[in-house]
Amino acid sequence: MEVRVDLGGTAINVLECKSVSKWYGEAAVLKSVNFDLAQNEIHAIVGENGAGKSTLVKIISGLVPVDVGTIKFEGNDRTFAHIREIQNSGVALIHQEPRLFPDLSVLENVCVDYQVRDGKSKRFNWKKAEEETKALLAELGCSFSVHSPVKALSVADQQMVDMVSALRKKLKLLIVDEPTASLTPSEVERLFATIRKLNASGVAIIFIGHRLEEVLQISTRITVLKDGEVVAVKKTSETSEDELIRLMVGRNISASATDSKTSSNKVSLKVSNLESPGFVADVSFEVKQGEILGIGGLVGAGRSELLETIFGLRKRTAGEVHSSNHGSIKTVKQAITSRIALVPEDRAHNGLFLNRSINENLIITNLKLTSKGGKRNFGKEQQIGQELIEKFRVKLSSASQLVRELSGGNQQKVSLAKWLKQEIEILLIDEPSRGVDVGSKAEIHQFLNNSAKDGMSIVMVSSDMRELIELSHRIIVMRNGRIAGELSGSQISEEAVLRLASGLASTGKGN
Amino acid sequence: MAIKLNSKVTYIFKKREFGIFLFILVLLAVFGSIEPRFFRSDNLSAILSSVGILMVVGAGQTLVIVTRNIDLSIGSTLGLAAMVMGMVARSQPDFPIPGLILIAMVVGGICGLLNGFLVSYGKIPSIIATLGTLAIIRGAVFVVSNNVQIDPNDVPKGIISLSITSPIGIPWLLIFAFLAIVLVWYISSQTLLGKRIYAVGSNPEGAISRGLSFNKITIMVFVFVGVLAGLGGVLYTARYATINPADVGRGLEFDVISAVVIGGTNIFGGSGTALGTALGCMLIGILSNGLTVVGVSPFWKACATGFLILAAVAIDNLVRKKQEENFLLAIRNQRAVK
Amino acid sequence: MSSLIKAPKRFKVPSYLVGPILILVIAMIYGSLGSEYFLQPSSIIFNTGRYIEIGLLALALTFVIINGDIDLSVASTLAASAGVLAKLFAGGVPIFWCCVAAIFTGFVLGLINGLIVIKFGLPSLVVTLATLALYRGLTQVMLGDGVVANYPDNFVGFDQRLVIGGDPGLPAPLALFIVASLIFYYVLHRSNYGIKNIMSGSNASSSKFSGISVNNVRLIAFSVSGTVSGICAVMITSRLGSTISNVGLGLELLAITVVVLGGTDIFGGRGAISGTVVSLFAIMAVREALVIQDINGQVQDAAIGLLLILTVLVPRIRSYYVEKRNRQKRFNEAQAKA
Repeated sequence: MEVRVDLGGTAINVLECKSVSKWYGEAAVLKSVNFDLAQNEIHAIVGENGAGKSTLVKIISGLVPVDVGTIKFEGNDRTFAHIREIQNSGVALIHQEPRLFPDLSVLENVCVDYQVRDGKSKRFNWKKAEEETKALLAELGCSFSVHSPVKALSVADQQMVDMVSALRKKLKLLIVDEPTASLTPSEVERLFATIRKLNASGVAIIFIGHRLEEVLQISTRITVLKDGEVVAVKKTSETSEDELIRLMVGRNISASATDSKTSSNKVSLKVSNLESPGFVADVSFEVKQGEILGIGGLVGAGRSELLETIFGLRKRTAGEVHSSNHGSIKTVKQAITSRIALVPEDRAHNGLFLNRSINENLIITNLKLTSKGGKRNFGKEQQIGQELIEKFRVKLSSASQLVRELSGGNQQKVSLAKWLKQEIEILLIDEPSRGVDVGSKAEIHQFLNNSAKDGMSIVMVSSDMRELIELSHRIIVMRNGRIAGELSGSQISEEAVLRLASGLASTGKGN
Repeated sequence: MAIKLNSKVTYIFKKREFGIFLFILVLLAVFGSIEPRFFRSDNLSAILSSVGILMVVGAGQTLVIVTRNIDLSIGSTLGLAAMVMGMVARSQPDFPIPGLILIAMVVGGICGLLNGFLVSYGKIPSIIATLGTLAIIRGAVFVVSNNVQIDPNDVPKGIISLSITSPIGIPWLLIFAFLAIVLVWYISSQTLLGKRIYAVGSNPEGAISRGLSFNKITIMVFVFVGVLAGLGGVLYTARYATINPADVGRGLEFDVISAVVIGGTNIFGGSGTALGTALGCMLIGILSNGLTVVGVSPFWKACATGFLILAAVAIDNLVRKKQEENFLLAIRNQRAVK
Repeated sequence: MSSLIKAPKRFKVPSYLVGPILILVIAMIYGSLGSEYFLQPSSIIFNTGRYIEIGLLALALTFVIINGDIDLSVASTLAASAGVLAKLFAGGVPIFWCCVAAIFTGFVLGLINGLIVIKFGLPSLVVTLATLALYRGLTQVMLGDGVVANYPDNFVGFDQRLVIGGDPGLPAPLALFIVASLIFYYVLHRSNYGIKNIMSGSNASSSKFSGISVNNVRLIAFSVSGTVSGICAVMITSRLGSTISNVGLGLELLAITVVVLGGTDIFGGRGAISGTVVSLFAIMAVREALVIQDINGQVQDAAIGLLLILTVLVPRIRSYYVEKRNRQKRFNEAQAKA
């Protein structure tokens, strides 16, 4: 059902997309999408993973060719324009895949796609470029030198460099795709301030985000995509998070019932004074059987590194990890033998083998079960693969399909399932639902809750506040590699977690 | 209070090229003190002549490796260019020298164009593409020459003189080597095109999404190294006066890539300098010559080169790791303050 | 009872084999047109000696490449092992122990490659480029300008021995290759090590996160590569009956060509022993067919180089046009609906 909202006749449409469709192979990723953008608006696009948001903006920015449909930019047809043409007419896309060159300096990064306009002087004026770039950076509140190599900058600073490189051209349309994933709250504020300032000076903005609170905060209009189609276009002031979720998913997702979270008193894992240089300092905690221990904190607090150190992947310079049933754990092999599993945050790079089949991905951690004396048994491999696929309801066309072709949610299921053929006592899971559609997310949460009820200890890192609060029995919050505090029972709240994470106040059991 | 060095000066010290330069000085000192004959002017000029060709081709290969590619066919290209030029010179003894040089460079450029297309539009990994063209171009040398070699008699005096002299007293060979290095230095540090070349190697997907003409740049670097290999063919002819279809340029790519790697260019692309490559060439030349002058059997040369490469890359790696650690620490401190 | 009756599996030729098989068939046809003796088993299989050596190197290289590394030093390792064999033999050691020493040398040199790559965290391309020089240098130091010959009669001529007598019989090298292929096939596609090797090449980081010891996998691959080079050193010495310092020069490029032509991805994570095997026979057929036409060795190499490029290029061109056609089709369908 499409709801069109009239913004009034005075706003000029910077962008008009009509009946845009796109296929990847046989799969339709965008189905006859209409999308308009007025100059003075910050227009957000929301939708589950695979809904087509990123594809749509890639098409708008010229990265990906459109199959069917028309795209008009300021009234001119730009449907089949070359990417450079589009960029020169003032469109810029800032997305997660980095557009920066780590080995080059900030200045070089910003200037590298500069177009010599009149062809009169071929020599590039570095001095002038340096002054201009310095000015732009200062405007955005950045203080680093233009000559520093980009690889020396933090993610937030790199994003600013990305912005500046877009701003050097006369910008008319700026698209930001998931910009806040790795930012601290103050960095998010700086980003939003920049976006608002740009918008005020006449740049139209398209904003893609998963965090609906942020989307509601920054945008003026919201388009909801589902399965490649536009289901709604709403004024931000006239909608709510619940309504957006309902539109995105097509059904009401009620917050999972917070039944009384009980766990046994038996400690299953004890971490003492753990230290990994640069990331983890003097961390100690315990996890009980059947308990879900949430780990909160900002990006860079060392949460992922903590899990990796416990699992044996990261060098440990001090401290101990002790499993009640299996003893001291130092290496990855010992961790696995002690029935510990780690589902990493970045599944594409660390959790999965994208170019290999689903089955291979599932059995690679189960070779002890499927083989005898080093010799593989294909029958057993098929069997176990099938079992896991069914148990986790992975949607696929065949088990020999490449994992790369699965959607985000199904990929995450594979990343999780591969560990769960064997009895796992302690599950370390990092960002269980990042990049996962709402349906799969619910299934994963259900799985975690049920496993805890059956006695599994779960240590869960999550940046999704809702997920963290709903699932965790207890939450420890990390800051700068240390535990800033612990929250349990009625102490648990979004605000409490954020305060500990940012070091604003120490509440509860501090460190 | 400790004296604070001017920051520009300390900056130079930290540069990798300075390290190679120091090592060269050490080698010179060692060889010279063991055998003073090492410093004789004819010996020093022999060193420079031997690496002149290496430098010309190495300058081009530097840019290729910076784009995250590799060109294994430069030896064959040099051979074909030399052979074609030699055959023209043999059949038309009065052909103007600059014309011959041009012919060689054009032949090299065409080979480079072929490589460029295979790697960019054909999307063939450069190691495979140039492995294939290495053989194909070598075969072309044979076919074109009918397996007849070019003898010193066929080579015009004008060409031979390139390796001996020039209006300003320094052989053209060295001038060309110097010019090639300076050209690559200029392109990479002063022009936007140079930055784009480095960008392509630093982040290929990013380069595409920033609208850089990825394919054009790739083709350009391969044509560039091809042209330089063609020039190398002229210089080879000038120096050795014999062009044998089977031998000419064989194994050159190994020496060139070694020099580039020793010079500090990262095999994964994105960084590397012309000066580094030049120093790498000189290091190899000095080591090879020095060992001979000092009386070490020439059979140790290959071992020495191997060790050099390992040492250079190991040091690079250590330095890079330390740098990354420093960056991370700086970022964390920054965040903690906020 | 029904479990004993399996539904017949549909036999599909994997796409990576199509190229090599095609080349093999066409070469065999071309060769038999050129000479009536071409397809006679006796003439085919008695020429196999030197190809089998390359084939064995290629089998071991397949492991190394699938797992994400590369070994440029295989020919130099072979040479150094042959050098050890020769030196020991010239020193009076019984031939059997010389062979054992040669194989052990290969193993050690391969192990060293692996240790340097792992301990220093350096790219295998550069490390094996260095050891290519280093090991060749060691060979040169060992053998100098000299030749070692006079090997015992019962040692020389391995390539002419028959394992199964008769007409035409089964020559020993071919038998060895068949056995080796089966072993490598089994290890790569049916053992735990094999899947770990493939996954390490597909994604080293995910492999570590999955509890695979990637370093062990790599170390084993390098050691096997070295050991096989050692075995080939024995074979080549037996076939040639003499040893000089440039034995096996350039074989690494041919071995890599065999592996890549057989469909193994140069970047790792994908490949098959069957591809390497068929590719070897295809290359063998092409060369022999050209030999009959009296075509020079360099031109033969050029033909192989061309085939290498085509094998990689043709599938890409095909998929480009398929995608283009699909897009056009959909555009028309959508227009028709509008």
